[in-house]
Amino acid sequence: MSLVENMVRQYDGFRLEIPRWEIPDQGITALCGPSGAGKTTVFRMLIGLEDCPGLKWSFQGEDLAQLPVPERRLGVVFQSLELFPHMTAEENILFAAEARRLSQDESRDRLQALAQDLRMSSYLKRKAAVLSGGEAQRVALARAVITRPLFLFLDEPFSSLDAELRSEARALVKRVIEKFQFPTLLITHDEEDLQAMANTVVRLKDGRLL
Amino acid sequence: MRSRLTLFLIAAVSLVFGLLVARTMVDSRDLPREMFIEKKLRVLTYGTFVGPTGPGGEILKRFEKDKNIKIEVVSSADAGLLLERLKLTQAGNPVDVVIGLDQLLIEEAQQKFEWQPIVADKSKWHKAAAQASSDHFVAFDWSPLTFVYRKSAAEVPKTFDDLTAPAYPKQFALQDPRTSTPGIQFFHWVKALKGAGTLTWLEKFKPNVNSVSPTWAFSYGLFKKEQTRFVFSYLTSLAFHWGDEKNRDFDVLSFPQGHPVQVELAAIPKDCRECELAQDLVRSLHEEWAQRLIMTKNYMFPVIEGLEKGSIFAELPQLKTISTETGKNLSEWDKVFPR
Amino acid sequence: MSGTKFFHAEESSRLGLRWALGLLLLFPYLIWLAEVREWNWPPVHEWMPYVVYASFQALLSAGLACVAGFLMFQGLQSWHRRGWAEAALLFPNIIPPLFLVMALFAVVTPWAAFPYGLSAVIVAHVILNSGLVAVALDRLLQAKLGGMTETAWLLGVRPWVFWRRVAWPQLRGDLACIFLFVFSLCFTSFSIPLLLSGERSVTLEVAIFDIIRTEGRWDKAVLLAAFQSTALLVLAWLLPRPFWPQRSSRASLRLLEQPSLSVLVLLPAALLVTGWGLGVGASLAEGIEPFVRENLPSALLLSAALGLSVGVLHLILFLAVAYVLPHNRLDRFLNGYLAPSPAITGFGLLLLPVNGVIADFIKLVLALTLISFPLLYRWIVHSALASLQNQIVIARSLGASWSAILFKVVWPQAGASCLRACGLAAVWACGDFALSGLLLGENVSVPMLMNDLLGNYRFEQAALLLIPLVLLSLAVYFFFVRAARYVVG
Repeated sequence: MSLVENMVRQYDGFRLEIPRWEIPDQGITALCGPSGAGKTTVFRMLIGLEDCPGLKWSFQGEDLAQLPVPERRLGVVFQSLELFPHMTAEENILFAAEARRLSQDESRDRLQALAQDLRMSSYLKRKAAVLSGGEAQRVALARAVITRPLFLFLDEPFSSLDAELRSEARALVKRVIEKFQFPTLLITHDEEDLQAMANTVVRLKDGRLL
Repeated sequence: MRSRLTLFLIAAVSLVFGLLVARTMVDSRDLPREMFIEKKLRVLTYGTFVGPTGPGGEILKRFEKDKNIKIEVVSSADAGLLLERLKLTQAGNPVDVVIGLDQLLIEEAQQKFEWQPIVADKSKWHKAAAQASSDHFVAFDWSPLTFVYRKSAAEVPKTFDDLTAPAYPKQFALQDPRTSTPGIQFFHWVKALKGAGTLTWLEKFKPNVNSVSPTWAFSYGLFKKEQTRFVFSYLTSLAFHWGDEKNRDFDVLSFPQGHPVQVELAAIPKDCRECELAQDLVRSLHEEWAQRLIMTKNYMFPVIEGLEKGSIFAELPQLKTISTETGKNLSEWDKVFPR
Repeated sequence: MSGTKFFHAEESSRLGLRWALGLLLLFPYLIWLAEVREWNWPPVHEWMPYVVYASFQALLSAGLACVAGFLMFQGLQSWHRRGWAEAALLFPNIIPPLFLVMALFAVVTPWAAFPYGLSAVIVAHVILNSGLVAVALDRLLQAKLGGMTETAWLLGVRPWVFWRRVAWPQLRGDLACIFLFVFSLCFTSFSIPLLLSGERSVTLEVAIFDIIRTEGRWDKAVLLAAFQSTALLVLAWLLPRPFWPQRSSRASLRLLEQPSLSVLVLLPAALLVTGWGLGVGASLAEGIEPFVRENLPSALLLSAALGLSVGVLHLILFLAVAYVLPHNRLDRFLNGYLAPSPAITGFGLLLLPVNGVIADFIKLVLALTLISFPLLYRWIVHSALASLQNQIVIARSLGASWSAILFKVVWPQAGASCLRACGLAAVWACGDFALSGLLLGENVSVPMLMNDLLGNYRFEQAALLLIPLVLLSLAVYFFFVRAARYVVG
C-alpha cells in the first residue's frame, strides 16, 4: 500500500481535504467523481505539478512528496496527451528513454516490445501531429511506461476516443499494465472504465473521499 | 455587459471633464469674464519661458489684465523649433508675437517670413543686446556664454587654447549643436576664434570632452552631479549658484579672446491680426518690472543697463564679448563628432 | 429591419469601420501628404548610414535584451508571487525614459564616467526591454508548451534538452516574433538614444528629429519615417503572426526554473529605484519648493485628465477593432504597423485647422493614442482576440450578430486584457512631455513641470516630482484594471 496523508487545498471557494488515503501499490485504482469533485487537483498534487504543503506520500519506504518531480519516477498520460508534435511516434517514446539515460540497446528493445503490445509498429515513423486520437493515446502510454515508472497516472485517457475504439484501447492498456505490474491511478468519470479496468474504485465528491 | 461598458465610458469621460474643470478652478481662471472677451492675442514662445518657473506667465497675465484681452500661448518644445512651429501655424491661424528667437535664427527667420518693424529705444541698452537687435527683432534678455566650473585647487584654462591642454582630460561637458542652442554657440565661438583652423582645434579638444548632450539641461545635470568639472553654459548660471544656492564654489572661465553672446529676441510677424497689441506687448517686455522679472526668473541679463544693480547679477564677472557667425553649417563638427 | 437588411447593414458598418481605423492610424502621414508640396527623396548617402547604424544598434539591443530576458524568465519561474514579480519586470516600461536615464546616471556616475555612445544606449535598451521579454516568454510557454513542459518535467528531461529538442523546433516563429517586437522598439527608440548616444544618432527617430530641427526639411523627415514604418511592417509580415492562446489555468514551468537567477527579476526595478533614490536623497529632506507646490495640483489634474482620456480612447479603439475582426489584412496591418515618430505625429496634428485649449487637448490625446495604440495592440490585445477566433466562428454560424458577438462572446473574455492595455496607455500618457510640450501651449502637466524645472537648474526638484507622477500613473492604471471587475465580470 502507498499512503497519502494531509492532502489539503483551498481555492476559489473550493476545499479539497483528504487526510488519509491508502492507494494500493498494485493493480489499477480508479479515482472517479463528478465534474468539479477535485480529481484533477488530486492528480496534479500527487504528481507534483501543484504545491500542497504538508502532503506526505509514502511509497516503498520513501516520501515521494518530498522528492523533486523528475525524481519521483512517475509515468503520466495527460488527457491532452501532450505528444511533441514535431517528433515521430518513435522519437516521442525514445525521448523519454533518453531522459532517463537508458542505453540505446535497452531503449530499442523496450520500444519493440511496447510496439508489439500496443500494436503501434505501423505508425512509429509517423509524425505525432498526424496521428489519430487512438494512435496518439497509445504512443503517450508507451512514452509514459518505457522507463518502468514506479507509479502510472492516467488522466481520462479514453475520453477523446469513440465508443468502439475505447474498448480496444482499454484492453490494450490493461494488458500492458498487468504485464509490467505498474501500480496505476486512473482518473475517470466513465463507469465503463471502472468496470473494464479498475481493481479498486475510490470516489471523490466535493473534495472529499467517500 | 453592454450597459455596464457604456456606463463606464460615460463615467470615465465625466471624470476627465471634471478633472479639467477642477483644474480650471485651481488655476483661478476668470472663466465668465473670458467668455466675453473679444480680443485675442496669439503669442508663440518656448515652453520654459511661460512655464511655472519662467517669467512669461506673469508678464502675459499682467498684460491680459491691463488690456482686458485674452492671450493664447502657442508653444514649441524648445526655442530651436520656434520657426518650424511658426511655419505650421501661420497659414491657418497666425500668431501675433514671437518671443524667444535668438540671434542665430534671425537669418532664417528673415528668409522664410516677413516681419513688422518694431520701434524700441535702445539708447540705454547693453551694447551686445543693442547690436543683436534690428528694426524687426528686438532683444529682451542676453548673456555671454562660457564654461562654468567648480572651484578646486586644480588649475583652470586661462586662454581659449588652454582648453585643448592635456591637463583636462574628459572634463568638459558640451551640448550637441544639432539639438541645442548653446551647442551651436560653442561651435560658432570656435569658428570665430579659429577660422580655418576650426577642425584642427576641435580634434585637439575632443579628448577633453566628457560628453556631448542633446540639451543644455542634460549637460548641466551632469555638471551638477560632478561628472564633469566644466560645462558650457551662460555666465548668468552663476546667479543661480551664488544667489539661490548661496554657493560660491562655482566660477566661470574668462578668456581675453572674448566670448559669444546669446541674445533672446521678440518679433511680430507681418500677418499679425492684432498688430497694435503685439507692439504693446513687445514694449512691455522692456518695462522695468518685466526686465527685472526676466532677469530673476530666466537667469539672463536685462537689456537695459543698470537694472542689475543691487542684485546678484551685478556681482557677476564682466566678460569680453565677440560676435560670431549665425549659419547652420556644421561640417567641421560632423567630422570630429560624426553622426 | 429584416434579417438580411440588418446583416448587410452590419457588414457595411464593419467595412467602413475597418477603413476608418486604418486611415486613423495612417492619419499623420495623410496630413503631411496634403501639406508637403515638394517631395525630394534624400540621397542614399544621407540616410543609409542612419539605417545601418540603427539596425546594428537595434540588433545588439534586442539580442542582448532577449538573452537577459531569457535568464529573467528562468528566474521568474521560482517566484510564487507572480503578480509582484511581473510588475517588477515591467516597471522600466512604465516610467518616463528621461528618468530611466537619470537613474542610470545616478547609479553609474559615483564610480565611473558615464559611457556615452552605443554601449550606453544598448544597456538602457536592455534594462528597458529584458523584463518585457521575460514576461512574453512566460506567456508563450504557458500558451503553447505548458502541458509539454509539465510532461517533460515528469519524464526527467533536462532543461537544455527540452529547449533544444522541444521548445526551439516548435517556437522558432514565435521567438522570432518576440525578437522582432523588441527590435522594432529599439530601432524606433527616441528619448534614450537622444540622451545617451552622445554625438552620434543611433536611431532613425533621432535622425528624423535632427533633420526637422536643423534643416526644416519635412519632406525628408516624413519620407524617412514612412520608410521606417514600411520596413518594419514588411519584416512583421514575413513572420507568422504571434498567436498565444490563453490558458484557463497556469501550467507549471518549473522544469525551466533557475532559482539562482530569481534575483534577476528585481534587478531592473531595483536599479532604477536605487538610482532615483540616490538622485533625490538630499532633496527629500528639503521637500518640495513652494512654487512647485503651488503649480503641482493643477499639473496633477491635467496629467490625470490626459491619462484617463488616452485610456478611454484606447478602449473605444480596442472595441472597434474587436468588432471588425476577424479580418486577415487588418490584423496583419495592426500587427506590423508602428506609428511615425512623435515629432511627425505632433507637428502633423498641429497642421489641423482647429485651435483652442480644448482642441489642443484633444489633439494631444489623439497624438498619444496614435503612437501607443499599435504597440499595445501587438503586445497585449492581439493574442486575447485571436484566441477567440473559433468561438466567433461558432457564434456566427449560430446566427449571432457582430455586435452580439462583441458584447457577449469577445468582450467578456478579452475585456480584461483590453483594459490592462488601456491602463498602460494611460500611464504612458501621464509620463509624456515631448508631445505635451508641443501641443499643450502654456498648460503644464507634471512631466512638463519637471522639464521646466530641469531647464531652470532645479534638477533635484524635478526628480522629486517623480513621486507624485508614479503615484498618479499607478492610480490611472488601476482605474482601468480594476474596472474590469465591474465592466467585464
